[in-house]
Amino acid sequence: MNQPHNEYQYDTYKPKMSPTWWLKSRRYFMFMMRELSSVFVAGFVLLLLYQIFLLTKGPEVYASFQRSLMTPKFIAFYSVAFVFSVYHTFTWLGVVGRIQIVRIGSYTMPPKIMTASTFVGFFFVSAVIGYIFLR
Amino acid sequence: MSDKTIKIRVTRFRPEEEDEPTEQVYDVPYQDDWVVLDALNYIKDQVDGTLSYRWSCRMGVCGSCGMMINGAPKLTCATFLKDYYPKEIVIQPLANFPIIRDLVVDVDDFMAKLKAVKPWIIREEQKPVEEGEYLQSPQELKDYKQFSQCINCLLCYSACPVYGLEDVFIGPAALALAHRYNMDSRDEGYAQRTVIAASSEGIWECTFIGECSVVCPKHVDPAAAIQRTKVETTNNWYKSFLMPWGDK
Amino acid sequence: MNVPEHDIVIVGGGGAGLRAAIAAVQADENISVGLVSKVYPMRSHTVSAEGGAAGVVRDDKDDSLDLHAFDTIKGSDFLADQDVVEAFVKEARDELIQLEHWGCPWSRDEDGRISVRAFGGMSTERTLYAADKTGFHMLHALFQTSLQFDRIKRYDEWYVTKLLLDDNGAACGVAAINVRSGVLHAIPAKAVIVCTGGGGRIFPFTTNAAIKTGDGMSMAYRAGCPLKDMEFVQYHPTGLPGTGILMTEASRGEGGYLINNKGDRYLSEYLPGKMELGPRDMVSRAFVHEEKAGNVFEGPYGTYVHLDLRHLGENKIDEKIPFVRELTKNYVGIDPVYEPVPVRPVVHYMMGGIHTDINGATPIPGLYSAGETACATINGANRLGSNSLSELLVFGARSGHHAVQYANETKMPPYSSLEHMVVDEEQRIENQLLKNNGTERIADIRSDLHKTMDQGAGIYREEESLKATCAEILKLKGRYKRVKVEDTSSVFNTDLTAALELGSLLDVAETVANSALLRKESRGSHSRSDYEERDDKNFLKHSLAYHNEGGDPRIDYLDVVITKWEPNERKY
Repeated sequence: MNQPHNEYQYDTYKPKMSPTWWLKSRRYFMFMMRELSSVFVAGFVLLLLYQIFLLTKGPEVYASFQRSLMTPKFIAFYSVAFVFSVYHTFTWLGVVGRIQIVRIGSYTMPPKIMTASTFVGFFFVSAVIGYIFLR
Repeated sequence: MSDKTIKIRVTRFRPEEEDEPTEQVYDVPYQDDWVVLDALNYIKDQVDGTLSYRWSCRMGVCGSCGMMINGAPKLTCATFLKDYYPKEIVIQPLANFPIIRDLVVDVDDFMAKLKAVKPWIIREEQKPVEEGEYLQSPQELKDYKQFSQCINCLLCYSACPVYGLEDVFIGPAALALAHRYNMDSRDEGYAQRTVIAASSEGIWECTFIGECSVVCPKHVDPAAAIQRTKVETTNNWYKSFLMPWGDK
Repeated sequence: MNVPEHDIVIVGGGGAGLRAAIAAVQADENISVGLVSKVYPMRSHTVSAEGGAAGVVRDDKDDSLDLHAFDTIKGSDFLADQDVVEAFVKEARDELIQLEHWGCPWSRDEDGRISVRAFGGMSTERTLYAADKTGFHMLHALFQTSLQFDRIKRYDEWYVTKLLLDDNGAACGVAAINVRSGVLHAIPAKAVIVCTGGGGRIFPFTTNAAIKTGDGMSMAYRAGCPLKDMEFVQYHPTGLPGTGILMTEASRGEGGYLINNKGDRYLSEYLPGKMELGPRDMVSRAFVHEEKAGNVFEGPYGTYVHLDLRHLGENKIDEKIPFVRELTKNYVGIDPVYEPVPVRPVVHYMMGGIHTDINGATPIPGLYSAGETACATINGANRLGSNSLSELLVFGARSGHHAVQYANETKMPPYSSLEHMVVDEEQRIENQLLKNNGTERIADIRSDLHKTMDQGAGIYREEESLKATCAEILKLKGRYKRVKVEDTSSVFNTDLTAALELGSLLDVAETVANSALLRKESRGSHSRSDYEERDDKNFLKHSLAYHNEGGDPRIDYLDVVITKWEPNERKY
C-alpha cells in the first residue's frame, strides 16, 4: 500500500504475549505436555542405547546395571516416560488421518477410518512385540 | 423487548488520548436471538457512538468482525449472547495484532503475507478463453475445496501462539491458501510458492499446536494444510537428490 | 503531502471494481490504477452472493445467446436496453471462463466441465455456481488474482467522500479520508470508475451488508450525474425474517418448494408455469397476496412462509446448498434436512443506479461505473437471479477498458488544481458534521428513514404513501443537518463514516421515492396498487433523477433501446 507515512501521528498499541500463555487453556497446556513428552521419549531411548552398549562390556557389568534399574528412581522415571510415550503416540496417531490422504483408485479413505486403522495397527504391533518379550 | 440486560466489557483505545488500552462496561438489553454484534451495534447506535469496530455482512462470510470474546477468538456475528448470559461478556481486539483503535486491529502484516505466498493460478501458458475451461473433475475440486473456504477472518492468527511470539511466521491462513493453490489441478506454481511457504518463516515455524483449526469458523483446517505441505516438501526434497531426473 | 496520482482511480473493491482494475492494467502496461475501498476488498458485499452467475457456457444445453438475452429482457419487464443486453450475454461466457482460468472453483460435472443449474426466470440451465457460495469464490478469485499486479495500488479503508470535477466538468479524481489516520486526501486521476454497490440499507430488512449505503450513487448524483431507474428495488423472495439473511434462489433452483400455512405450494396460483423459479418480483408479490389472504405464518419478526427443502435429502443439500444449511442452523436453529425454513421477501438488489451507457461511461467525461452501482441497464425493472455476478465481470471489464482508452487521451490533472478542493471538502465535513452543534442521533434518523421507506416504498406502493415518504425524506434531510457525530477523534472514526453513510442513504432514498411517485404504472418490481397495469405507451422509458439542492430531485425520462424484441405480455 502506498500511503504517506508521516500522516500516522499515533502508534498502534502492540500487546505483549505473556510467557505463561500455555497456562491459559487446557488445549495449550496439553500441547506443552506433548512437546515435553519428547524429552522423556528421548531419555528412554538413550537409556536403552546405553543398555545395549553395556552388553559389550560383559555379563557382570550388564547385570549390575540391570539391578540399578530396579531402584525407585529409575522405576519412577520409566513410569513417567511410559505415560508420556503413550500420550506422544496417541496424539501422533490421532492426526495421521488428517495429514496423510490415502487413495486407492477413485476411493478416498475417510480420515476417521485412516486414524482408526493406525490405532488398530499400533495395538496389533504392540501385542506382537509384547508377546515376544513377555513370553 | 424484555427488561433483561447483560454486561458487556469492551476494550477501549483512543491513541490520541491514551498510551494504553482501557476498559469500559456497558449495560445492553438481552435478547435470546441476539449475537454479540447486535450488542455492539446497540452500544454504538444508542449509547456511545465513539466505539469503533469492524463489521459488514453479519452472516459469517466477510470475515470483518473477528474479536476476542471472553478470551477466545470468535466472529461476533456468529456468537450468541445466550451462550454467555447472565455472565458478563468481555470483548477485546483480536490477539496478536497491534491495536489501531478500540476493537480495530492492524492487519497489514497478514495482507503482505497473503500476497507473498502468490495466491493465484501460476501457469507456464494460459489456455485462450475461446477454448473453454480447464477440465477439473469433482474429485480434483474436492482435493482443494476445503482450503478455499477461508474468509480471512484471522481468528487463526489470534489462536496461534507461534504467531504471537514470532510475527515473522507467515501464519495459518496464508499457508492454507498456498496449499489450496498447490493442490489445484490447474496450477503449476508449486515451486515458486514453496520458496516462500517452505522457508523458515513458513511451514517450518509451525509446531502443530493445532489451535488454528480449532477456532476456524469455516473448518478450513489450516493445521492440516501446513502439515501436508511439510510432508510434501520433505518428500520432494528427498526425491530431488535421490531421483534428480524427476519433475516438480 | 505525498499523495500518488493514478491514471485511473476505482472506488470500491468488490467484484466489479476488482475486475475493472485487472482489465485496466492488462489493457495497457503503463496504466497505474488506484483501488480505493472503505473496507478490505475481501469484505465487499460480492462475498455474500450465493446462487450463481449466468452465461451461455454449455453448448449442450439447448441454449443460445438470443435465448439468454430474451430471458433477461422479459425478466426486466422489457425495460432493459436491448443493445446492452446483447453485448452482455455475448461477453458473459468469456468472462466466466476467464474467471475459471484465474482459479475460480466452479462446481463441476463428472466429465470435468463446469456445471450449470436452473435459476429463476431462465428458460434453461445456464447458471454456473461454486456450491452455494458463488460470490465468495468469485470475489476471492478476483482479489487473489489482482494481487499479481503491482500497478494496482490499493487504498484499503479509505472512505471516498466526493468525486472531484475540474473546471470543464470532467472527473479529475476523488477526495478520500484515510480512515486510519483521519486525514482527507485528494487522489488525482484521469478517469474514475465507481463500483460501490447498491444502497439496500435504506430499508430496514435487507440481505445487504452494513456497507451497502449507496455512497458511490450519492457521489455521482451530487456531481451532477443522474441516477437511473431508482424506483426499481428488488425484493428477494426468501430471506430469513428478522436478520434478512439471504436464502439463495439456488435452494429453489435445486427443487425447493414455497409452502403457505395451508401446506400448499401457493405459487401454482400465480406462476403456474415456473412455480418457485418464477422471476423474483412475481414471487415476492405472490407472498404479499398470500399475506392479505391470511395464508401466512405469524412470527416475532413479521409474517413468513415455509421454504421446504426436506424432499431434497441430506446428500443433495450438503453437496449443492451446504451454506444454506449452515446459515439456517446457526441463525434460526433449524436443520433444513428435517424442518422447513421460515422465509419472507427482503430487499436485496437495486436495479437502478448511476446512468451509464453500454461501456460503463456516464454523462460526466472521465466518470465510469459498473456493477450494482451502475444502471447500464440490463436489468430494467427486475433482475433475473445470477445475472448480477456475470454483470460485475462484463461491465467491470468494459469500463476498465474504456477508462484506459479515455485516460490515454487525457492529461493528468495537476495536484495544485486539486489542493483547494481538499481544503473545501475538509471544511465542508467539519462544518456539516463535526462542528454543527448536532442534536440528533445518527441511528434515530436512520431508523426513521427505514420506517418511511418500508411504509411508502415497499413491495406495493401508492400515491399517498409515496408522497408522504418523499415529504418525510425532505424532513429527514433537514434533521440530518443537525446530526450529532459523537466521536470527534481522527484515528478510525467510524461515527464520522456512519454519518457520511447516512447522507448517502438519504440521497439514494429520495431518488427511489420520487422516481416511484412519478412512475404511474406497475412494471417489474415497481408495483403500484393504484396503477396496476403496465403502461408501455407512457412509461416504456427509464427515469433519470437529477440532484436538486434543497428540494426533491428533478425527474426526467429516457427511452428504452429496443432492438429485436418487442414488448409483450410477461407471463410465466
